[in-house]
Amino acid sequence: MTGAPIFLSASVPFGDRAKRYPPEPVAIREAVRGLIAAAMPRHSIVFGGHPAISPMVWDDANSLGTVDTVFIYQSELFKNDIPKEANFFTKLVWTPQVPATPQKGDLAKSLEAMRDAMIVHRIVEGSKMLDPNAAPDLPTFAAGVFIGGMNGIIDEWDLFRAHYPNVPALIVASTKGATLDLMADPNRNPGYPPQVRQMLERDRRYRHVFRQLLP
Amino acid sequence: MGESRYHLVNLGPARDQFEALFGITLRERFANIGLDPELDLDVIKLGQAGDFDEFDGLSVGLWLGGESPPDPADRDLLRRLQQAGAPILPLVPDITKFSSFVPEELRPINGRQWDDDRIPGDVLRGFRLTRQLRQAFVSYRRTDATPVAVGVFNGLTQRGFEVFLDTASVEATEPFQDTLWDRMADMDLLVLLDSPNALNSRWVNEELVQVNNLGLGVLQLIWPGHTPYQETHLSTPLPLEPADFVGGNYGPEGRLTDEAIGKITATAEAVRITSLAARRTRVVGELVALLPPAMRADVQPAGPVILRPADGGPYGRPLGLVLPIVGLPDAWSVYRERSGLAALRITVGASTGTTLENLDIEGLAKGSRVRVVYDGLGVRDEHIQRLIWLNGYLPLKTASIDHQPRPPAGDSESLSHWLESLATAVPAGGFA
Repeated sequence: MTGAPIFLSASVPFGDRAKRYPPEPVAIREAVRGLIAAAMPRHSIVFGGHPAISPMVWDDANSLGTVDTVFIYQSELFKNDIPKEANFFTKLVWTPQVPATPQKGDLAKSLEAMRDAMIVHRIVEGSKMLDPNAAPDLPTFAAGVFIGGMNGIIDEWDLFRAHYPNVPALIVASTKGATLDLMADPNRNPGYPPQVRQMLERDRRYRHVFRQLLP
Repeated sequence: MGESRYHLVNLGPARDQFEALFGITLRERFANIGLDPELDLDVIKLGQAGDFDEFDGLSVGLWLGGESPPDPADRDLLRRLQQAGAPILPLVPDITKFSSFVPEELRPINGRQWDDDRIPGDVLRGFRLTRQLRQAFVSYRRTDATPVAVGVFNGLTQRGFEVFLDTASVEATEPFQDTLWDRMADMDLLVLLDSPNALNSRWVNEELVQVNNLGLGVLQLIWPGHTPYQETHLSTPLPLEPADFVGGNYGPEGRLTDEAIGKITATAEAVRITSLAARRTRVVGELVALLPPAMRADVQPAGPVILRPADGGPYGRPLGLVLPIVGLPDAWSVYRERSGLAALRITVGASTGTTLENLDIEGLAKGSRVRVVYDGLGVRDEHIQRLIWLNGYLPLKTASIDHQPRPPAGDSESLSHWLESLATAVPAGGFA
């Protein structure tokens, strides 16, 4: 019987933004694997699809026999760009492509819709997308885990913390990227006890870290 | 990424003797295998400990023992290194009085007398810098990048790597996994020449994700003006500029400048170091963190992890042995580990610690007290099937660091269960 879901926000800094957020791809890779190994099958996983990370999450969950409890969110906006591995997931959740408004482009609007369904409303059922009164399909999150990333991870952090202020939210700062900004920001850092902060900043034994810090 | 180094951490009351004892020989050995000791080797001493990250870069600890009591700061750094799974070599002026020169936590570990000429070799082995353990794979598209591949091949070879060139993989007809899989345990690094049209998404999604799961480092050389597939983002990117090519020619006949090759090989080394450290953490660091409280693990600089009762003192009789391996167990790597066991002597029993006994490997193995531990997360069924076939012939049982629902035959119960069962068992008898 799988318990409450864990929200995973992970990506790898690249391109021009990699200058601002120097990437540590090995640490990001190890942290994602470590999370899957430590959290499953006890928890299910909810995450937004990422071309490099999705295939690895699939392989790892598959080797543990837990693919059916990984919920992967993909925006219809990118329907033609996603790796075929995304379709291997049994719980692939499509979120709508939303047209641009005078204030925001279609990318920003579609990403907003995806995060709304994935983080705020926890909707899996297609017909319930964009219905602000729809009841959640998934139980509330047991934890949020934040790995690597660029600006997007900061947006997801703010959204997660606004809606789940009492749920453990882990900034895995040893994976660098935007997690360093989150940890350094006194308005965002949740105030971890010193040993927890040290673990998150230094320890690369990720299975161990998540076993200790996840509920 | 370019910061990753081989860290030689000097600890212990006699640590200031390091330069006189080993400084020259070690640096010579580094240079002999094609590394630059000034750039690649970092000798760390107390005083730098605050900034030192035991998880970043690959570390080997040298404890230079003496009669004076150890500095608590040294012991703290020692503890941090041991938690990260780094090998520690205890070195003493007189091996017959070993235990009087080292703190309690190092007494169970095999040490050397500091005039032993095997020490530089031990250090290199701790960094996995022996030639057979230092291999790289270069994948490239023949029609785009042959002269560049040859340049990278030569640069890495001069640096002490054994390099395998592979065109077939990216040509997309043959899977590269067969060639790669046979040498996976010794392959640390894949250099991917991402020239226009080199990669196709099938290869990237299937092969590259497996490479990442196995823990190899991937260095991706990106041609000027070329945007890599997003699926490759777990690689370390090195964008090439036209100035990196002789005459600015980065077409199919283009060759790299010597400066560019130097930059590439230095980055390749850093990628190797980081991924090797991660592979070691996956099995040694995580294993030590999994132990039940009643049990203690003594990580030998070379050879198995010895499991003892936590309250048995430094010379308690072993409960079991773990051989952590990098990559997947295959017949050759297990045979090699098993052969190493036969020569193992450890200190057992007497509190004065002067008794060296031969460990009864056969007895321990027969009593199901030895495991080869590996990280098999994400490995696909076809490779597990191969492991099932091989396991029928392996002399030792295997266990994955994670609990896997479809373990290969020969994997016993989960590692956690096995550790629990050892902790409650009577210590192994049957010493030779």
